[in-house]
Amino acid sequence: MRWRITWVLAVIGTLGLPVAAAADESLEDLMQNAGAGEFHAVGVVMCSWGSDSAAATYEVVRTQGMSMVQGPGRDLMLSGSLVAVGSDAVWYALEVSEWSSWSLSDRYSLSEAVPTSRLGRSATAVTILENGSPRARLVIDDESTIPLVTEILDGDGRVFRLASLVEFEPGVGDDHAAMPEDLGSRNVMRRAAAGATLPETAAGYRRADTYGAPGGSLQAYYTDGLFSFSVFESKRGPMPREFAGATVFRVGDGAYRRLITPTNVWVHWSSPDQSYVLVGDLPPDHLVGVLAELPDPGDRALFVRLWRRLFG
Amino acid sequence: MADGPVPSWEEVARDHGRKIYNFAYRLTGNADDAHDLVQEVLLRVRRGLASYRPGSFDGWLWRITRNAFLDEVRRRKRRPSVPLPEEDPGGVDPSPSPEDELSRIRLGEDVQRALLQLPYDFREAVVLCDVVGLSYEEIAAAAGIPVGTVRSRIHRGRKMLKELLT
Amino acid sequence: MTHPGDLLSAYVDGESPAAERRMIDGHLDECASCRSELAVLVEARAAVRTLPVLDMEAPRRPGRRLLRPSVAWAFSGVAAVALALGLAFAPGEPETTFDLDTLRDQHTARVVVDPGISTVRSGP
Repeated sequence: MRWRITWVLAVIGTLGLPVAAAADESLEDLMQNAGAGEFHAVGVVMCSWGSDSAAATYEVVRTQGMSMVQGPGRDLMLSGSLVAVGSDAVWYALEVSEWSSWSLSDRYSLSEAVPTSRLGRSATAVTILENGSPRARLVIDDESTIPLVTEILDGDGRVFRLASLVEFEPGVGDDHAAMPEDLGSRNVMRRAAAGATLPETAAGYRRADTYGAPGGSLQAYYTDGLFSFSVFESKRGPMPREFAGATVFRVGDGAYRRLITPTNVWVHWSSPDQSYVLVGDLPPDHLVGVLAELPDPGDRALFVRLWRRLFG
Repeated sequence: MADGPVPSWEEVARDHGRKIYNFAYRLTGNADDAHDLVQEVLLRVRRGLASYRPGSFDGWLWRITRNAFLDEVRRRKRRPSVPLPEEDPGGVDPSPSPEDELSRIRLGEDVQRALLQLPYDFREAVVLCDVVGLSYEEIAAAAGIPVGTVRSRIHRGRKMLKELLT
Repeated sequence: MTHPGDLLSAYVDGESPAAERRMIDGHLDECASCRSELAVLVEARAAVRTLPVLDMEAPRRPGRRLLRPSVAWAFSGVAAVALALGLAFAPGEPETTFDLDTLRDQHTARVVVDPGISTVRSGP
């Protein structure tokens, strides 16, 4: 499959096109193909931001258009738009009812295809550029087009997240991943009208879909085609206990709390009337830009007025 | 240009469109899905033809076809071989009249229904071999699996098929 | 040779190299169970090979891809909007808090329908 990557550069040469115009399509193709192969793998994923870091090992089986991911604490089965979460006997399922079509931001392009090898297999190393600067590095197995290594870089070029397969076997043998028989409850996330508080775009991300969840919170899903995040908005309430020891950081005048898991960053803050949780795989410099365009943190206006009246 | 002519877009659409349609129809049992798949594959082939390097055209084409099929499967809620919890794949057949029975057999509906009950990768291997007519090597190249796995899937698929048809 | 197993399918498809074919021929002369397995394979192969070749009919519905919207739909029903904005709660009820596990799963459910570059995109 090495030719699949190298034809990009050949096309660029023969057509005399600027790199960005041709590379975009090939990055889309690369991302589509990365999802089509069947394989069984064991991997490690780790993420670090400042002094916070997290890591985990996981096992993935992908077959017949379905995936099973076994990680610490829970298993995940993915089949099209159906996500089933659980372990052993206890499962529940979740599904989005509608979603908008995927498109890739034109700030991304593909460059630097270099033959290499990984896990004893012939592979190709590529770099995803964001406005010309490296944002992600992938090592892609030639035979199966599956990414064996994915490195996401922060704005300074340091590795922010690394996902790496330590065992890899394309095709799956005779043991097929199967949906658990008893899925317990099955919930469908329905589209909702977008609230007025969350913007259509933020720092190069577009609000693709909005879902209304039971319990009254709104989920706005943003993506730039490569990274994505959801912002959950609810009536102002107590901080989730998981954030109790979280690192506090500032963007502008606002204070936020953040948690790192191997695959996501979590941020919590409250505005005078609402509470927010953001979860996504976007790198830190993108996240800072996004938070600047989302509703600002702030104390309840009423409380501040009372305090000032009482204490001057 | 190197060995082997590069087909024109019209040639691909005419000669291969029908094969792609039959591949998709036999895999899904659904004419609308099969039609959509043909459009999707032809679209991808068209985009890729400009940069296709002559070599094994069939291998390249079937690789695209298979990827397109699996991508469409992922996008939709209907999955060929994973029944959703509330669907009952068995169903209840009203008993058919002798004329219906005969025409069903003649039109291959029994075989199609049996095909749909095979696990996806067995079904795909059997369809690529016996409907599309690819060799084991070509199937291996299209699916990214070893020839031995192709052979094993075809073998088990056929045995299961025979059991379902008796 | 011992029973050929799945090599019999290759044999039926003409995919066996000459030497292997000769060995299977010899084995079949002596082994009734493999002969009946061969019959099974030949029948199943024929059943699929004789399926009629279909011609494309005009689609009964317009191509699905083109209809997928790229802008958020306004979901019909005032009730859905009210629920989404949290207006379903009467004043005086306890304030809501987030259950992070649920949020994680809701985010995952949407993430995985799009293409991505990592083998695990919302796992651990």
